[in-house]
Amino acid sequence: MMLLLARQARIGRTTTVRAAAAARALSHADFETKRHAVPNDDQGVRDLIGEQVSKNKVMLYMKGTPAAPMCGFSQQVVRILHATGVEFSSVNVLEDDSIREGIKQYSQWPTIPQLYVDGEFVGGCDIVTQAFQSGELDKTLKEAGVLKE
Amino acid sequence: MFHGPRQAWVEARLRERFTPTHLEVVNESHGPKENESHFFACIVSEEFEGKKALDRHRLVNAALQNPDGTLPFHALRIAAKTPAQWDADSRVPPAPRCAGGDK
Repeated sequence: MMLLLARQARIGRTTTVRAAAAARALSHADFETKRHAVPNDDQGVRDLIGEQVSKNKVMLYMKGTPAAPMCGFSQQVVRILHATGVEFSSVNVLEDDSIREGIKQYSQWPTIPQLYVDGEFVGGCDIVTQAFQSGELDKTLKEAGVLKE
Repeated sequence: MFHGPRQAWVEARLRERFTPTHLEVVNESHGPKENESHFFACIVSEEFEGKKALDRHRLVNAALQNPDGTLPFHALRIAAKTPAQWDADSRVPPAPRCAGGDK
């Protein structure tokens, strides 16, 4: 768990402190006062997302944090990733509107959560669930080298 | 049972776009059903033949999206099957439980 949290902190958008605050109260003020320096232009956001999905083999854009998901769909994907046993990084899109909208543009996908493996968009909750049940997700994770054969 | 205008619109759009052999749209909104915020769409259509799940879901999203790529409601669960798949297995996945944030 500590490893997971450390990885979140490293990518800069999600820290344990902020996650706890977000879990207590979801107000705009909370997000505005704690907002980190995420680029506010479209190209900057695209570059940041590109960097996140390339530097993190398994990257989940979600609502809330793995420890405190704020949406049933995000929660389900977190549970699936835990079940596979892989280490993953995540970004809480509720903490930043530019990432929240940017990832939808980046993937051409209208909803959250969104899972990336090895820089490739895997899908949202329905597809991840389906892929987990069929064994396809394990295959994808093995191909990415994050799950042992 | 409440059947709202948005649900009727979703059903009409999907029928028009996919000429499904089976279509079921369920209002899964967590709060008042009148919010029409969360939907589940089970679509069985020849259109999905030879397409992987991601591409099927992209087609369904595209049929319902606003011009700017957003959905006109909060959440959409999709089960997109071919008639052959549907004949072999007509089970659909349950909705995940809401984790409370819903933002």
